[in-house]
Amino acid sequence: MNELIPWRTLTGRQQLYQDHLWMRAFGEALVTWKPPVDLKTIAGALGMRPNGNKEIVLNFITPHQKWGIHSTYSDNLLMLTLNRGGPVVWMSETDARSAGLVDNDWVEVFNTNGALTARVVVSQRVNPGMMMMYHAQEKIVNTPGSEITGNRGGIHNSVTRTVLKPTHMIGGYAQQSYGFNYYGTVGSNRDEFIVVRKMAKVDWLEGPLPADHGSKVA
Amino acid sequence: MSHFLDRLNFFRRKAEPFANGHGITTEESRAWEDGYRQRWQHDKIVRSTHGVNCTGSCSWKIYVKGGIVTWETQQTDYPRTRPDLPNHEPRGCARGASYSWYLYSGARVKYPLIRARLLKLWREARMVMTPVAAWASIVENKAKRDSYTTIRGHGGLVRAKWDEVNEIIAAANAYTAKTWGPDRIIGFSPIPAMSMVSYAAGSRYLSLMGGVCMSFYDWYCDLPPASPQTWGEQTDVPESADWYNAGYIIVWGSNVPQTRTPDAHFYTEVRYKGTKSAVVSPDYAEATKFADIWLAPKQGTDAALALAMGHVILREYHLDRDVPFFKDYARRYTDMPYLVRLVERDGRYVPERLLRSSEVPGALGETNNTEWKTVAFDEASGALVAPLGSIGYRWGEQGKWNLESKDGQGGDVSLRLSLAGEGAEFAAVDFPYFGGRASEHFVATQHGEVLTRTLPVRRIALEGGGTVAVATVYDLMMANYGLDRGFGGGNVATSYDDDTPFTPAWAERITGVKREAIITVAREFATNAEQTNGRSMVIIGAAMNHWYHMDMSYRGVINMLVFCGAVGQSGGGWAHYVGQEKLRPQTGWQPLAFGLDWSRPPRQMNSTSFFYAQTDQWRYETITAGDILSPLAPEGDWDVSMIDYNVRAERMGWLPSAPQLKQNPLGIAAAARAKGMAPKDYVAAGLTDGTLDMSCHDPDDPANWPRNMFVWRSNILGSSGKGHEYFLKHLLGTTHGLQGKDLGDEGRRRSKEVKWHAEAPQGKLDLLVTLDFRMSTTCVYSDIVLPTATWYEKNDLNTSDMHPFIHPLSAAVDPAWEARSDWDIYKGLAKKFSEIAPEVLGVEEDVVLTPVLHDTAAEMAQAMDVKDWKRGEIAAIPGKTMANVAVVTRDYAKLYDQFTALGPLLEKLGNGGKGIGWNTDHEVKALGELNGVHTTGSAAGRPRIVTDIDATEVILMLAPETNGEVAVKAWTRSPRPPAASMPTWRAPRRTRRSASATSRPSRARSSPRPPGRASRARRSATPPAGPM
Repeated sequence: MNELIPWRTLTGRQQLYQDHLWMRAFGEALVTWKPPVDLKTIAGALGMRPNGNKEIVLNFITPHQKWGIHSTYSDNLLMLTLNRGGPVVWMSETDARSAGLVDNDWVEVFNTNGALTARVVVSQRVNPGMMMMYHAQEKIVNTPGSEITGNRGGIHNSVTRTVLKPTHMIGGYAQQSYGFNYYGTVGSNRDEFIVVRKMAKVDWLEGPLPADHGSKVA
Repeated sequence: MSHFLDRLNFFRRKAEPFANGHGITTEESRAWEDGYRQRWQHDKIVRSTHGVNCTGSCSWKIYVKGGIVTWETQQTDYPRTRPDLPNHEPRGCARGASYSWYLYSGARVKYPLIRARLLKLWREARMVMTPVAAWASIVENKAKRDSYTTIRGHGGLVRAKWDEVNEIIAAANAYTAKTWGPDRIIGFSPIPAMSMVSYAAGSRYLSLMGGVCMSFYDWYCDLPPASPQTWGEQTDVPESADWYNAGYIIVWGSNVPQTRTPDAHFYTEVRYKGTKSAVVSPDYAEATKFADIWLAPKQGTDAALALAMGHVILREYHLDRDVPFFKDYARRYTDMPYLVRLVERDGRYVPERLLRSSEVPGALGETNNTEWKTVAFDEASGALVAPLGSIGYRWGEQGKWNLESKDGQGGDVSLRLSLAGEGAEFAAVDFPYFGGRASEHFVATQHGEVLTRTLPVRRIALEGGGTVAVATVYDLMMANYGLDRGFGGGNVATSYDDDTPFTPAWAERITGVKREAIITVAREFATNAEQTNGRSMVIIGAAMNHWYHMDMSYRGVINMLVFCGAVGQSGGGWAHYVGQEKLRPQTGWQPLAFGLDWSRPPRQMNSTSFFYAQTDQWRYETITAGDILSPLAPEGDWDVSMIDYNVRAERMGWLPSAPQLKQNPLGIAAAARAKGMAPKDYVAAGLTDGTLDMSCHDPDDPANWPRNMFVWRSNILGSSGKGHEYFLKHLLGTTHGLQGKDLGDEGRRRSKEVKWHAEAPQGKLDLLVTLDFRMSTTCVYSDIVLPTATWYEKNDLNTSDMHPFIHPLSAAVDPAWEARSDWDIYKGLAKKFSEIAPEVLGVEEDVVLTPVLHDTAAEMAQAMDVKDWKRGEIAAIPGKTMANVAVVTRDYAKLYDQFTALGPLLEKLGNGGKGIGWNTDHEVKALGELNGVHTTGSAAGRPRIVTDIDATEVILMLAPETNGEVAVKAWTRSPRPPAASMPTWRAPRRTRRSASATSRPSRARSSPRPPGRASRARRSATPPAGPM
């Protein structure tokens, strides 16, 4: 290697064996196969607040968006006019058929974390079993109210929750020592599953405010 | 006739048609066309870029007419970087070209805005009270506080004056520091590289005050933990131009044309050279159209695919046949020759930790840090050796922290990879298997939780008597991949068709990818690496990293690269592009950003753990340790909740805390003095006997809430805030859509380490302030919104990991309406704060806790075991078994003077990063000459940092990447062995100034700062810049 400069690890080499006690406790001394974790956010949501439409369960994936300036700026009119101009989720033809959905239907996507509303893009691009929602489409643009929460739509992170992994907390141990943005817990979000169904009524929340507006949802 | 009369032509006879009736001459007015032409006319063109985290960092022409930005196009004056590479330009995409829309759109924030109810309360209080007292009267009255916090997000923002909102914010900050502590004032702003002066404005304000800067790269899940685990490096990747040097590219979970648009051309171009490409993506992403072969695994199963490819590579290129290049690479640049202790369990062995020189008789002649020197066998002599380069050689001795093939005693060594061969013993060793734990949505296989395999071991004598069995990482690795080496025993495969982890047939079941395709790609990848000395590359992205067990997918891929000697080769290696993490002139920027020129250490917090605790997501946790614990976990108290693990990590100084102590840190030093103790000892003793407590033990106690939060350059509530509804409910205390019940309602397990409150708090923040140029979701939920300059209205710097150029953001026009640059906003706050603070704050001693940090000698904290002082297993020793404790003196009335001047600590302590330091007196002097010095006030004589331009000069002057003189200083202190030559070039002694950076894209220089980078010898003018 150039200059024979060592890596800043325990051995000074590329470290394929992670020998810290917590790495061994969680079975990651050597690489192995671990299936996605079950976040258990479906049982408390599926069929709990029926609206008469069929509900199906999908893996919720939030890839990088196409019609916004990176992850932050998705309210730009020029970009909105190049696509459907509001929040969308992508589904396979197979899943859409099974849920009784056709392209451009308004759907609600929810689990115990919360709910969001969007139009559905039915596409051969997507594998059955997954839903894609580009991050980060904001609820301030063309987002109707949610039948579940009574609030405006929600964002892609309305149905996610932070999960921590103990192996990312290790410190004081050579390369596994803290540095700002260097090591530490990370906010993963793709193991999440959601329920999707067609909306029965699209409410833009444009009527007068109810008397109790501003009181918290229990 | 007049123009007007010309237009009165209604009665004029129509002109004759021509061209057989296809053409007709008309004479109607064409004046409207001028409007269209004028739309594209301009008075001047200004160079700027986009302060966004896309990694593009593209140079743009901004067209200005009459003081208004009219449009933008790509710059086309990039210099060539090398004769054999395609040019970089044009850089930029349609999304960037849409940016100027924001400047004059309805979304623009034009004036300071504030929640009307808050403003009313403030004005009432302020009529009879001083500022801090007025703020206290509002937030200490529940009804008044609730009146504005519970309607966050419901509209009700009204226009206010700068002076008034500055006073409110300053009063809130002063009140919070005095009442609760400055570590209850937090700021979230991501990715400094995209506009590093704007980031530094807020972080400098917070750091000088003792507030907390929140992390982002990890919170976004863009940080791949496998990188620090494997390389000790946050993220180090080749520039996109290096794709052109590759012989084989796997694009794996990265959608290059869509997400790295200005760089994608290198990927297109290299295919014309004959480079083959495989794309791994579950959906038909845009990148898949570039693929020679497309693998579409089920989402979330990439680790299985990578393991199967690794199985093929090890079988065909390491076992069945020797590839000298691969073998030599494994021996010299990986831990594969190192010895792992094996412990007996149920008559078999379980791999434990790496053997250390301290455990071997005589410590192999070593005396310094012997617990941190790892051990291997020398091939020729058969003796145990402690090769150079391990972390123990880094600290406390000189000249031995390098990768020369020598041991600590100066002898030449060639490390032994496998213990197989003459006289080998064989033993049964257990490996954990998690593939049976898949939920109904994924394929679970029936292989048992423990897979026992046979491999060669040796028994060696221990210091102080006794013996221990050891195996090499190499032999463990081969067994782990399920490769049959003729040693007998089960759970190894003789054929790719065996249903044994981790064969291609096994992976086919889990991923859905045909085994033939897996084998083909693995062979092509490895064969190319063999023929090109490692020019096989994996471009990898968020699709892989955003899963809970991302480490497994990443390490699976990293192993493939390491097995093929590809990491560190030009055109090869690991190319992770997720987030604009590379702040090239980092060492020049850090003192500015964190006020290190005035006081150290700053407070920094990891956001993921912070938001998990403070938005009360931990109260709803569904994952238990049992879900993820290894069946082979050593004895221990493992069955605790996720927040318990985090609290233990904070307690042991592994992770930072914010807030830090339940007690106000401004009162600790005095309390220590009253007892005649040093603050460090006082904190350690107080934590041990319970007179002090860490905030993490009770995040729901009002004493431990964050109180003031700043958000700038970010849209955390509309974008990155995982658990959005939890934020709304618990942090903000407003209307939310949370559907689930917490663990208390569910009657499930609660935390062991953290106090449970029956009722969770709602609305922890007293004040949420957001700086933005557009009305984002976060602005909608904020109490105060400050209008900031757009990317075409301020002066700043922008760098990326994708190319070596440093791009300026330039003020093409003045900030529109009442907007101000981030620098000016925080400078204004600093001024107001300094005026107001004396109401409650003077010169204060702030006790700051910092975790045990990487790249300091403290990173050797607990070598053999994990001991927690709270549970009485070991004494609380600051900087060793708990956080470090420092006392920082803050003169709050002088905060403005300090904000606008370069402080004296740079001369006193020098500058540097990642364990390398140098004297920087000359640069500080030069800055005084360049920016001028203050002539009055408490910072008289110090270089000025009054404008955003001044701030860019500080960065460019102090950093090795932008100042040749500093580069030479840094290079001469890099940890190279004496025999290694200096870099082949010498940095020119010239400082780049912001004026020249705006004239043409200019490249950053090489810096040696972070030793041990993952990817050396890349086409990267800056080898190892330290990413932030």
